[in-house]
Amino acid sequence: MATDQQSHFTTDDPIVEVRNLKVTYDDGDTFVLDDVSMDIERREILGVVGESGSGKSMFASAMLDAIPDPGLLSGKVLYHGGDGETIDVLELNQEELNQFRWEEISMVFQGAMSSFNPTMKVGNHFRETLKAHDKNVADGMAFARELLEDLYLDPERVLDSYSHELSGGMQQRALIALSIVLEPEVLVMDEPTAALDLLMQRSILMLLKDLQEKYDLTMVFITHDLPLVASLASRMGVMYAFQMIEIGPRDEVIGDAGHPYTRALLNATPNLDAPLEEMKPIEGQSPAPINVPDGCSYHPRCPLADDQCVREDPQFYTVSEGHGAACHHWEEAQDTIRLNFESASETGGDSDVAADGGTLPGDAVADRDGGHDATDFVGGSDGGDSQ
Amino acid sequence: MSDAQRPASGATLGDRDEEPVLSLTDVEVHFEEQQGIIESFREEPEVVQAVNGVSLDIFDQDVVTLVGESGCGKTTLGKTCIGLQQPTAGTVEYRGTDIWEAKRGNTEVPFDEIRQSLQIIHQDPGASLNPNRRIIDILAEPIKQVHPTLGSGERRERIYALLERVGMNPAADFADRYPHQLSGGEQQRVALGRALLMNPDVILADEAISALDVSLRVEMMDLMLELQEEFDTSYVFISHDLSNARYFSEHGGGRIGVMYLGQIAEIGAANRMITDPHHPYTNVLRWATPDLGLDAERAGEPPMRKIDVPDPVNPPSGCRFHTRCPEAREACVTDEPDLYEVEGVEQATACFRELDDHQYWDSPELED
Amino acid sequence: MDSTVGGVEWTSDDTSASEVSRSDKAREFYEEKIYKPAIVAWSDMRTRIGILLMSIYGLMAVVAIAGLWRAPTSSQAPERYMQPFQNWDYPLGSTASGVDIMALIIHSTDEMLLMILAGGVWATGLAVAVGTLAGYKGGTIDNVLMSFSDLVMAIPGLPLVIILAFTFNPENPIFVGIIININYWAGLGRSLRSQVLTIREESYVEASRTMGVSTPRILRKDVIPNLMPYITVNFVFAARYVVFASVGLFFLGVLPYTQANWGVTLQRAYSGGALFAPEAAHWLIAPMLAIGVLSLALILLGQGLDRVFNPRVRTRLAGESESTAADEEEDTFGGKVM
Repeated sequence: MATDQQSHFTTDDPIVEVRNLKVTYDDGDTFVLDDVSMDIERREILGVVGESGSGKSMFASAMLDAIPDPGLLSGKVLYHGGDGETIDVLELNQEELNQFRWEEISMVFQGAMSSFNPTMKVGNHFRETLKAHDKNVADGMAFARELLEDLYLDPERVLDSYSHELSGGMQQRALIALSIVLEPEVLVMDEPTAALDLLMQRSILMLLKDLQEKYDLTMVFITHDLPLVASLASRMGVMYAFQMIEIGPRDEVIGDAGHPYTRALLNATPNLDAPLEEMKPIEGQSPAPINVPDGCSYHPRCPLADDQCVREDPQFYTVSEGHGAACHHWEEAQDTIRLNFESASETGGDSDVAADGGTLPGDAVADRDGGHDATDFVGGSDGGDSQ
Repeated sequence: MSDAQRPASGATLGDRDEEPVLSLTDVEVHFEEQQGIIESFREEPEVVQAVNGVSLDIFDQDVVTLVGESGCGKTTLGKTCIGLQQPTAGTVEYRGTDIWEAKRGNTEVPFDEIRQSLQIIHQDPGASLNPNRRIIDILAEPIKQVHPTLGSGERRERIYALLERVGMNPAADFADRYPHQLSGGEQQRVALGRALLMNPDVILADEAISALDVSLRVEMMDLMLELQEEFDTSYVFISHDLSNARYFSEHGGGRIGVMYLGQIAEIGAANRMITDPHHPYTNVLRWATPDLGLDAERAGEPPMRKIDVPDPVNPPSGCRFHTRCPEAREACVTDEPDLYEVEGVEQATACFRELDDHQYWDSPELED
Repeated sequence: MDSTVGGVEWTSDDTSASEVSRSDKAREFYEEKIYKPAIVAWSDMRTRIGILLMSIYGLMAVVAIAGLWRAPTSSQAPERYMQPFQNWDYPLGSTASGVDIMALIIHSTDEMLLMILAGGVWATGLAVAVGTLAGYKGGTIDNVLMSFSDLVMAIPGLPLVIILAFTFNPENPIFVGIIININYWAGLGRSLRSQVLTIREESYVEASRTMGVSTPRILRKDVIPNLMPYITVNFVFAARYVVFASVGLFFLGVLPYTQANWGVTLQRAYSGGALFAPEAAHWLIAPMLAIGVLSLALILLGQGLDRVFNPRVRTRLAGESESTAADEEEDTFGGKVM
């Protein structure tokens, strides 16, 4: 029973173990994070996906014990550092916590642009961070320059500028460098590309992949934009109504999701290839913390819901090795709910043909070279936010 | 040159013979840098060429989507369309009347009438609603503009009807709230309702869904398109995201226009632009759009030579994309392409490769 | 009257909507403009104390006007230099000439309140008019108005007031209040203008412009309500300034002598040697307290009033519900939820 329950979320070499994490704001009546358990594997990129108000940002904060008052956090967060030591994050006192944050686990928040102090040069942000953690400033700055170069920024120029003198994309990259400068093991990012445009988003994702390889980082990438993280993540978790409802390797969560919500989410996301008719919004709305339904929290919106779903809150069912979904009817979901982008690789089928004789989706795509190589395409000059 | 390869006139793509609602002709919008006194003696002011020579027609019940990177001028062009931005050259005509002449009072059609027919929905729903007013007051404003003689009871009726129509039930409850008591999606629906209550001919949706969660976007776009027919309005939809642009335009049976450094690089029917782009830049945008297809692993190599957008103060000569274009040749540095129609379909692209007999094919490739 | 606009049937399911009776409107007005602001004001301890203190002064003013307490005259008290809290007929004691100090305090109040109200309204009202017009319109109007207010600001305040006071010899407290704050509005107008410059760029203001809403209406509905916190705080400052300036000027004798006036009382107490004689100390302390407590009341009121104009506070205290948990997430991070 334990192995069955846990096989979807335990991994071989977890760097962070999260167990039964709960956050409540009014002494246990309503939860904004409801009993989340999972492992984060060393050196993986984990994507956590969910709508606004699903608890995903809360999850990130909880891992760092950064839940603002009057929230109450309970559960366990175990960190297995590189030196074999295990730290119980929630038991640390304030001083130890300050050291822990940024040196072991680092976080890039939403709305990163405003994370910089507008009256301080970027370079001073780095120096202050190094000083605050009692690190050698000279060594730290040398490493910072290296990082900035990895991110295709001109180090001298960036360090000497104020944040408003840099474009959005450059600010974001500078912030990423700042969060890695103390050589943490884990980097948690909450919507890091939210305000950026398409090409810049794409470049930053590729840079993150490079950084992860070069510095052996573990990354947790939190977003509401599923396709965005799909290219980056090796493992994905889906959150709904403050719970983790599906976890698994990326290929499976996207190609073969067990939970009806995940499948519906995939279908509701606009993309280039799927036929228009098959992109459908999800009926209804996500619940507020006080309105979370009994039983399975998704049942009011689920086409497969039955009495069992109303009565019983599902625990995780194993879909396959390392892939679990919290749904009583996951098999039925896989069989009945069709994913719209699957038809993109089918020929003919029921895809919509446009009135003026456009070609079918899926063909006529430019050459795609194999291999991955983020060449010198990310320049240092202003990507420009001027309109 | 053969018939089908003539420069496209005003990017109208020739098919329609109805009169356009909005007609932009050779519009330019240049922003001059503000200089201090001393600086103005020393050097010329820098000019940002936000929009540089765009002609566009928008028809009844039309959908035109403008896509591009930051700084390509799509928002400026959008605002020029609806008369919020005055062009520094060229004309903007609403049903045959020059908008800016009307503002000066020189035309038959009063400017007020034009002003009311062109509306806007902003990107950030939280900022587009006055935080100090309740929803019912916010929505009463457009009604007061269009039907000033209506009594408050009738006004309230219409507001409730609108709220129900955009899916906010019970209307009376929502009407009494302040904007901060609504979710982002609900706020945006109120903004949409406010624009529609003006009974406009054209609505500019300036990245109107970018601030919403990905899972809510389809819903919002569906709503906008449903209401389009009921209210008989056209959309100019600005997006930096090609997937959203595709969904909106294809569903609305409209065009996608790709902008680059203040010019239209390619414009055409939505599905054509997505499946068979003829301009190399459109191809880059395709590449950058994340997708879920697991079989075609989108590879790392971007189909262009540089990712930097050139400085809009000093745009490249000839074809502006030549500095980054993988297909660029010497001819592209010296000559500037017009929009050339693609034979047989609703599509036009500003690229010499469209013409069979241009000197492009004889000129050498660019060395980097 | 047709009920279809834009091809849509406008009659909603909620048929009770079209009957908006008089009583409904009155009730709405009461709730929005009186009840809810009152709750918010009362909820904050500072404002509560401020309101209570101000109402004491209000009460004193009413008493003075209604003549419920004797007017101050010489030799009305049984003895001179009577100490406070001994004779409850004369709770604050009496002066060197046997004038009832309590009467002095009470009968100054109504004029003082009128003065500070006039001064506050003059300074703030003019500043709002000038600042919003200049900030919103820009261009020539902005240049002209700002040049004018710079000129006014450059004129030294106190000497100007003294000259005006000697020239006009004002007796009417409203006139006095205006003279004291004669050029106070200029600096305030400038800072309001810079705030308007920011608000003007907000999306909702652009939306109103796009709808063709007239400029005065935009100023009234979109711009000024967002400035209200700043305006109320500065109104209070302007009023306080009148308090201290008027007391000072009456003390100096610049403003024409009236029997019942705190400043004048202070001056008489001071020249009567109350600073050194312990038995006359109460004569000095009473007006000082009156002035100080009024100033305190104004400050407290000002601090709390800006919350009244915050719609979030208002709805939270009135117990209204919120739509989704998005607000909670937003509260915890203070940033936008995408």
